[in-house]
Amino acid sequence: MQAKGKVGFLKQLKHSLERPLLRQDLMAGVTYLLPSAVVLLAFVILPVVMALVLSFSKWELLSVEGRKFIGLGNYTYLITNKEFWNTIKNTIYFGAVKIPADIVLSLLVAMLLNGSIRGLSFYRTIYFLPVITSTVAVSAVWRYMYDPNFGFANVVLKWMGVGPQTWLYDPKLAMISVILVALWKGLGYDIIIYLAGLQSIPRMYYEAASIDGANAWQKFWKITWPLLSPVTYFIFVMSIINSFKVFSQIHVLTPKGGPLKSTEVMVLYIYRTAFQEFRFGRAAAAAFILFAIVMAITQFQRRVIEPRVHY
Amino acid sequence: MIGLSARNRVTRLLRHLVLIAAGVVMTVPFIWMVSTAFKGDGEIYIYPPTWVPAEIHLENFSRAWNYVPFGRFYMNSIFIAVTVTVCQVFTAALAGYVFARVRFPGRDAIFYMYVATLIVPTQVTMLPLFLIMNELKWIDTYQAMIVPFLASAFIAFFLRQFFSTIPLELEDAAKIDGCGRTRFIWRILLPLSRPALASIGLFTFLGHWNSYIWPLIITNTTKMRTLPIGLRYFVEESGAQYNLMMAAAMITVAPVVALFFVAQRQFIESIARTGLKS
Amino acid sequence: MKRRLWIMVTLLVMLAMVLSSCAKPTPTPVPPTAVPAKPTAVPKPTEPPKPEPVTISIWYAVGGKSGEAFVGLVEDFMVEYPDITVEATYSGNYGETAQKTMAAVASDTLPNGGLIPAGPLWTGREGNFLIDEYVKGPDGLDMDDFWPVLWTYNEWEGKIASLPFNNSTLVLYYNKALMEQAGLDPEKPPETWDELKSMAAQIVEKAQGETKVWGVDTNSPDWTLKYLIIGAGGRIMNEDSSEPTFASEAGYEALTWWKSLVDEGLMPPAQHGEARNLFIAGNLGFLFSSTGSVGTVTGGAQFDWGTTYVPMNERYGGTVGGAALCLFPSDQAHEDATWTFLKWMLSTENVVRWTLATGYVPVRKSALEHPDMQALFADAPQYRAGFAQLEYAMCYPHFWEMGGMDGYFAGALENVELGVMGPKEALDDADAKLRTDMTD
Repeated sequence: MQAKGKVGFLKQLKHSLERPLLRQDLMAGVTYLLPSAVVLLAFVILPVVMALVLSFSKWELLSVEGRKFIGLGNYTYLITNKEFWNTIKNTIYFGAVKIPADIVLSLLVAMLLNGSIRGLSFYRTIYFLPVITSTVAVSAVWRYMYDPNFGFANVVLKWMGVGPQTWLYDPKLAMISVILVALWKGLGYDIIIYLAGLQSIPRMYYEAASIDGANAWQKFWKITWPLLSPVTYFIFVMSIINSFKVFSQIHVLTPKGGPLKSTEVMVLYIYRTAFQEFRFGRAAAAAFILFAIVMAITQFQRRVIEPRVHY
Repeated sequence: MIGLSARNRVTRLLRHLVLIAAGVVMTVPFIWMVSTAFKGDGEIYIYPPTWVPAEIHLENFSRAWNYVPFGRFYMNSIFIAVTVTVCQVFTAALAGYVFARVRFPGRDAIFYMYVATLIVPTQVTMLPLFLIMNELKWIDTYQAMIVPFLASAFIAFFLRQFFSTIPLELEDAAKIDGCGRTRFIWRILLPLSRPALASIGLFTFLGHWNSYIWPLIITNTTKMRTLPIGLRYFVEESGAQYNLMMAAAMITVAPVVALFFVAQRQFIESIARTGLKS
Repeated sequence: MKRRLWIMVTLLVMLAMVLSSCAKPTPTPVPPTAVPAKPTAVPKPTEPPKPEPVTISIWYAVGGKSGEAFVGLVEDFMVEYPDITVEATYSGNYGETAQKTMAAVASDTLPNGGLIPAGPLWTGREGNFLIDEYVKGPDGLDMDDFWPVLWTYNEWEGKIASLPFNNSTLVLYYNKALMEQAGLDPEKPPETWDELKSMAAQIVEKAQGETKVWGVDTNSPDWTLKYLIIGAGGRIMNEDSSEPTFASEAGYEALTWWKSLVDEGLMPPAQHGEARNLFIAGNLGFLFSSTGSVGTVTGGAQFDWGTTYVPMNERYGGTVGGAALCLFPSDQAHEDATWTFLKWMLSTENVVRWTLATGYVPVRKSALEHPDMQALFADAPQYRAGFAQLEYAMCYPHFWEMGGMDGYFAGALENVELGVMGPKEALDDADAKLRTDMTD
């Protein structure tokens, strides 16, 4: 099969080279692709192959004798390592709390903004502001907000009649605090996308439903939610992938992975292993496990969830 | 009828109330940042905190600015983000054009390879990339922050989709008029794609402007740091001096926020459009 | 069409050239193995008699006021030695600088020198004993004028591998105003663990069930633990740092006492990142912190305060801390220039200046007699305790896994303070992890 394909390809290539017009196409195609192809080859494809090799090696930056092939050694180390499982657990926890909250809140706000409302652009600007500002800058602001002694978060709790908390210092609360920042930062983006989705739903559906005597609740579940399902699916998929890659805000808020490592997510672990302990082999294996999880989730979504999405 | 409109008014009021409450939540951290940035050294330790600074300390900004070279960080960030954006859009436009328009054997296989690179998380590639940079002696240089990012499969993919929507007849007509391929790209295709290029350009620029983990790994010295990395070290270094920290945060966010207020429609459209397409 | 293509290719090439030239906007740090670096801004290389201008790259791992003081010294040095340009770079806190230095060792991109934590690991361990040669050479230093414990701190396998400069000891800061309020004599700070605990209990203030003023805290948890273990009669490592000895009865005792501070509501558990702010804001009675914090506390505190020895149980004592001045190999001109700089930094005058600006201990004994230092003691007696404590200071030779050990100490404290592990369990766990690292 493959040999046949190869012969076919060679034949086609010969064919192209023989005809001046087709040859021109071939030359132009190759020339135009060259710059990007070289860069991708050197800085994406080559590194992936290297990372695979690394992940099967003991490779430490400062010890030459440490560079040797150890087969699945790094992988068995990781899957039997409590700390590594803890980072997987933290990563899933981050996504499992953040994503549903994000979908509910952004859809709610988008629905409130939809339709004729005064000040739409004002609201949109305000909600979008956190999206465009630098993650490091806003994380610095939130770090101060969460200061247990002088921060603003405890003032808010006091207004609500709740006692002061230690936020990023509390193993039970640290991850929630981090998630709140992520929600706050990303909400505006999803609101905009939901709003675009809502605006594409024809009004007549709702009018027809009104004539049939449907109430707002029924309209939501029978019209809005199903028609928005591609948007929801998109946000869901992107959020899952992004939550596995979350790093910068956690690194600014809790550089050491939080109290009792309660905010150490997978990328933080990879970063620490590679660039603080200089165990590149182990870090590469962890990165491939991350890769595998993300792939598995996207495949699952494609096979199981996507067919159920109404387009 | 009257009852209905009264109910409408109540729902409208409620809608605004919820939206305003959400708006307050979104803006309070910014107000807090601005308020603190002007406070004196002692006032930041007052609890419960004050909203309006007792005295305005404008010198916080110059203190923060002089504490670490923010000017240098700005130049680095602008230089890197602009160079990377221009080069990425350029190389990707060429690739996108090929994938949309030029037929030759093997093209689709190459296209799938481009798409496949999109799946690889940067967390996998950054480790060997660091070792490559180490071999090239590129640690702590501009090359290390620019060269690996000169091409983007994502933009190539995005522009391919866009170019496919431009009628074929246009190119044929141009050819008949004696307009070569390169000329067609420069004179007709790219000008026609200006909105798409602007969207993807802004999107790319913001991405690289805020890029964090790679510059964090690859820079060693103060003078090579980009704005996010410089600010992050400042946050660690200034410790508890929250007024300076907030002044520095303000220095960092101000230009992008200003740009956003000037061109917010483009911002929102750019992000919504490129985001949805991905 | 062909011409267009050529234009494009030319543009690409030009772009590449611009990129590579942009890459070196200012003289980059000279790679250590490089051929004699091209002097960057020298018009006439044909005049040999004058020493050629040299640019040396120096990293420093001290931030805040200490960082400013370091840069101030560098600037004065350049005035005095116009032929030597020093490019000083803040390389992050100790942990970050250590990481960067490790990467730089591997990639051969070390600076010419620097104020770098765990100095001997980057010099002596790599077979670099340039400092040993210079110190003992004709243009050397008077070694007897330095505290002996500091030489031990900078040794690698018996040779001098780096220089003492910003060394510190841990001291107890006390808020006199709070002591007075609590009916204590502000001139009599605690001397033993028991006294510290009972005074802290008197200082703690509660309002509506919430603690407003705390008794004790530390902003260097792992270092504090070392003092407590030694104070309880224990040791951290054996003689040649080949084996950990902290998981001992003394260690368990120290950690048990520490935990009781949390249990009795005198210390907020596992919030050490806040401790110094809390003290400066006047909401903390006693703070364990480096002598290097004196400057920062002076700048912020609006009340009367003092410093004293870390309270003892069996004995006084603790470990010396701080980074070290390093010299990395390059070529003769750069090495000589770097040595000139390092030696200048260690003149009695500059040691005094550095101490006055930062609160780090004066590494030279002659600095203590300097009139400015005497004036300081009269004016701000808070400095005295840390310096005097050098008498009791100990140190263990550097070893590769010491950074990991500090992390395990911090982790052990966190686990104990939050009630996840008992004192014995936590220390045994740290011991096991360190042993694994050391045999791995």
